[in-house]
Amino acid sequence: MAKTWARIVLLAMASFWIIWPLSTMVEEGFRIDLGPLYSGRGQSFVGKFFQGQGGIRPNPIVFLKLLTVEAFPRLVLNSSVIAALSIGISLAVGIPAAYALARYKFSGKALFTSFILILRTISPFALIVPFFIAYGQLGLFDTYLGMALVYLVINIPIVTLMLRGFFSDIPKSIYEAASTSGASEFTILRKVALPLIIPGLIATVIFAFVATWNEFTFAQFLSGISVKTVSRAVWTGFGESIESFRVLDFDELNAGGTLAILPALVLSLLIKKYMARGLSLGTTR
Amino acid sequence: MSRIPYLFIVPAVIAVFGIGFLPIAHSIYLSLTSFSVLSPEPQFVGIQNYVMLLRDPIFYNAAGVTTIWVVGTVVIEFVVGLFLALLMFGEFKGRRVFENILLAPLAISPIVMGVLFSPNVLLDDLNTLLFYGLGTGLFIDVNQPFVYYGMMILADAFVWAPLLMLVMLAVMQNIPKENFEAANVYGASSFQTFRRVTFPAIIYSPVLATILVLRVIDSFRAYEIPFTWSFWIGQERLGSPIDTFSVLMFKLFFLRTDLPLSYVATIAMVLLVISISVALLITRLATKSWEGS
Repeated sequence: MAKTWARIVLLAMASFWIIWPLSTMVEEGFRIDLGPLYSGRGQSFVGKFFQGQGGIRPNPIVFLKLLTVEAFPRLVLNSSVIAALSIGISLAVGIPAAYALARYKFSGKALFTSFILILRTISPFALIVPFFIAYGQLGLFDTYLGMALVYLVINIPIVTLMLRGFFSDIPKSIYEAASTSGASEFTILRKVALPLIIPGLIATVIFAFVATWNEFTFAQFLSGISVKTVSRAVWTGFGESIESFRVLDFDELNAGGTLAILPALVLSLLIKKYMARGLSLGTTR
Repeated sequence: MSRIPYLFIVPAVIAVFGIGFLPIAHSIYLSLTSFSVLSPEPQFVGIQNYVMLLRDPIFYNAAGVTTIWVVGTVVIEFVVGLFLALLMFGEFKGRRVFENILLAPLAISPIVMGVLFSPNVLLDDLNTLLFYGLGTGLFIDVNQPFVYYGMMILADAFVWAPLLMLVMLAVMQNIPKENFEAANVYGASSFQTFRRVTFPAIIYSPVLATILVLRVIDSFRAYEIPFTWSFWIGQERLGSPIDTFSVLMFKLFFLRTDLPLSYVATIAMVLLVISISVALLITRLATKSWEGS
């Protein structure tokens, strides 16, 4: 019994460590700031940036400003369109590839898997320079299509490796039964295998959406004003300004950060069961 | 029959070629040329950029900083993940609540963590509490390397320690029940059970090996948190003690006026060698877990 209590206390401490920063972010979005309050001077004394007035009275003004005056809904639209486009293409190329990896042995299989994994492990900067040059020439800089294409680098490995696991979870006997009834391989994929993995497919799409929603590096270099994404705005600010070297408004960054993590958090907890699989390249089940 | 798998992977191969291999080939070409605002027409210069890089102190500086960052994050995440996994193992009241809380960080974007763990959001609360609230007259100075490396590593561990927990839990749940029962019969203490049964199972698991390799390479490429911190502590010059390879490439991109694209490509190509070796390593490590079902 004593051991259970010790366990609960330690877990409560771990939970506090997670909740404390997150609640601080929400509070500062509501203009609650303990720092200046304690110092009693209206500004904090560490860090190189001016820190505004503190207080303990919640004030939703920053959230309201983000949602009505500034372009937050537009950013959500941008992020969503880019993710939808990119995930759509990834599914189109990833579903058959995942099916082939799960179902067949063929020479070059390990090589193909390595190709997919190179996308997963490559430094974004190895791709940013050529993409930056090519997009300038092709007119894809700061367009939905351009961003969707570069996010294939993230989404193709996610889709292929996650779905591969779901396809191999289907018992072999089902594939064999379908095969002996004379269905073509393409029909088996479409009519037998895909309907069986619908929950897994949904989890994969959500997982890829959260990954795309959270991505920052490619967005910083390859999007301009018109397709700026939510996670880029968390850094650069939410107004119409493009670059980061303006006066940083921490209340705004925190309010925006809160709004940015909300959908990711809700969606991720929905697919909690599949999270390990997604994050471990489909090695855990 | 034999042609079918290739038909299925053709679209993916084309996509990987277009968004991966073509840009990499272009990068290799750029790294062998001089290409910047100063010389807008790429001119072939052979391996000159690589020679320059090997003589450049900022490169070795970045290698050192990246090593500290990778070792720090992965070790902390492993230890915290193991600790959390042991706490979460088994059935007890309130497990689901704790699970939801502990998994929440995995949904959070690293750039948000960079802002959230900044001196102006978390540290100033802590500092005023320390300085005025408790009246100690002490405060944590973010300009100390120990403090900023610590905060950066904590911010990264905040997001990724739960992943290690998740994977270790999955491994522990696969340990046969008999092993624990046998330990019980022999009167092993819970620490002995951990040392003889649980820990070896975790350490020798190919799944954990895959995840650790993945964490090392992800930490190696990590950009957002060191990037934000280079602003928080005002380290905007090249070769600062916070320049991981990613931050170094950002600075060459944005802070140098001549935009030395071929030099950035050169660094990226050196890193590419590491990425490819890791990809091959993961393929070898993970094949057993993928096929074994």
